[in-house]
Amino acid sequence: MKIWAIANQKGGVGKTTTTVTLGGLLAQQGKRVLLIDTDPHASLSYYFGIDSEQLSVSVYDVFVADKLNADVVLDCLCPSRLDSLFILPATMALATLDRSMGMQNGKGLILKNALKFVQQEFDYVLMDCPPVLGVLMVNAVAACERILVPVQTEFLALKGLDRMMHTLEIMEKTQKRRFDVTIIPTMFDKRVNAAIDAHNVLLEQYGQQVWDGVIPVDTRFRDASQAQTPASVYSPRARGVYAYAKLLKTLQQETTK
Amino acid sequence: MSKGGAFAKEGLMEDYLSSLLDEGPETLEKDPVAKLIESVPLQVEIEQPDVIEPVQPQVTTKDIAEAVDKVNEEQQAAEAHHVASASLQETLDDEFQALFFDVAGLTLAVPLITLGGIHNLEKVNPLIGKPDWFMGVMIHRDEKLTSVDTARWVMPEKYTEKLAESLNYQYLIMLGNSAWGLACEKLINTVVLNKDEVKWREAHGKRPWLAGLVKDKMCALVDVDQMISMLEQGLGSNDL
Ligand SMILES: Nc1ncnc2c1ncn2[C@@H]1O[C@H](COP(=O)(O)OP(=O)(O)OP(=O)(O)O)[C@@H](O)[C@H]1O
Ligand SMILES: [Mg+2]
Repeated sequence: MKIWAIANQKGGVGKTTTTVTLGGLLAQQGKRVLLIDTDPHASLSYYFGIDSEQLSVSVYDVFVADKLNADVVLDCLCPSRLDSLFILPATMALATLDRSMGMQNGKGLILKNALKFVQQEFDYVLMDCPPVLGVLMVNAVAACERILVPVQTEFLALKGLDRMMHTLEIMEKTQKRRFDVTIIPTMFDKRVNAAIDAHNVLLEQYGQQVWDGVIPVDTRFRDASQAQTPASVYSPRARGVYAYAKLLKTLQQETTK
Repeated sequence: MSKGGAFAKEGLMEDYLSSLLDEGPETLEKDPVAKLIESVPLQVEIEQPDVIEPVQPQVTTKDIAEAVDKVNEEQQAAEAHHVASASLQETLDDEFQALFFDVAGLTLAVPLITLGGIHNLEKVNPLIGKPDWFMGVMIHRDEKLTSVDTARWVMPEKYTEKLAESLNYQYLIMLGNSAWGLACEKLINTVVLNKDEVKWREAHGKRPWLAGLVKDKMCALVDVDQMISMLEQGLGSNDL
């Protein structure tokens, strides 16, 4: 089971879009995929038409379970329109975890432990993070093998990236491990010089860690989210989807070698 | 890549993360997050995403997360006040990143930690009764950004009508947390600099906004806080 976290402390950079689109593509490859929504705003859950406030259980129940086992996790899953794609939805209640757990040792490892129980059930787990450093993001990052960091190709976003990378550095130190980090330039508009400049700066500063492609600006992503369908299904021939497919190929090649 | 020290409360940050990630038996005596929260005022709002967000539910308790997130901004603010006494040279890490940009053939650099952001220059509304280098106010998401005609401010002696006509301002480089922005023609790049690569100027000299010269590029490194303070007082670049 491969576990990826999609994280960036900056908001609106394409985390949820990346999670959904890669998840859709993987499911279309026939992989068994679990998408975990760790954002109290529940935009990933909403993307799949799940009204998180109507649910009886969610990832919140995993976080507060007295004792974790496979059923606790499996009971919370929602199916999607794609056969092999499941969602572990979020709820607003997640927002209270920072207060109730932020003080307790070991509370950053709950998701990591929970995922051990469903290792046999899925080929890929993708976790969408909130744009905030806190218990939820720490859990996702601690549980994953690979971190995807979407970053908008503009100077303001690069500044936020620096902060994100520094957080990861500290976590590497405390967890005594190295993360596999892939920075993904998103919403790239090749007609805008500032975007080209920002992309160059990104390559210059983070060279090796930056995926060598870009995700272009593509209005189909917004259309797809309105249709509550992964863009890979909604608009399989869109440029943006094509770019994500290329990204996925790179990630899968790196993972197997 | 980030050159250390990105968080003011680096130690607290490490405590926070290592307690969350502690695999050992639970102990409750240590309470780094509480410490962190005490050290950070909570009223400041979270950084807003640049893109329209889905409807936001009424999230009530993100305080800790916000606190952690705020540490950086606090630090920047703290540094900003600091600079009045400490020089930019003392404030910066040995290695720091700077954004280079162009105005009328002149290259200027600002350290990224003092960069408030970059905007595309849009419609600027002039105000009367202001110094000539005051281009006007640009509205960006209900915020009023005051644009400075950088060429005119930095080199009034070279500012001719011909130069004025040739200027093609495209971006606004925001200074620190202030509403002041320098109009610029071209963004060049962001470069990691070592302090040794800068020829620092003596403190208390004329033109305090000029922190030094980036040696191999022969361009001016801007002391953003000093510049803000001069702009606030309506001073030109040579007026001190
Ligand atoms: N490549 C793209 N081209 C055009 N629009 C995009 C692209 N990627 C994402 N978007 C749109 O940008 C907005 C923000 O994207 P998304 O929700 O994925 O970001 P996020 O990082 O998850 O945000 P948040 O931090 O709020 O959770 C959405 O409206 C989405 O449809
Ligand atoms: Mg999101």
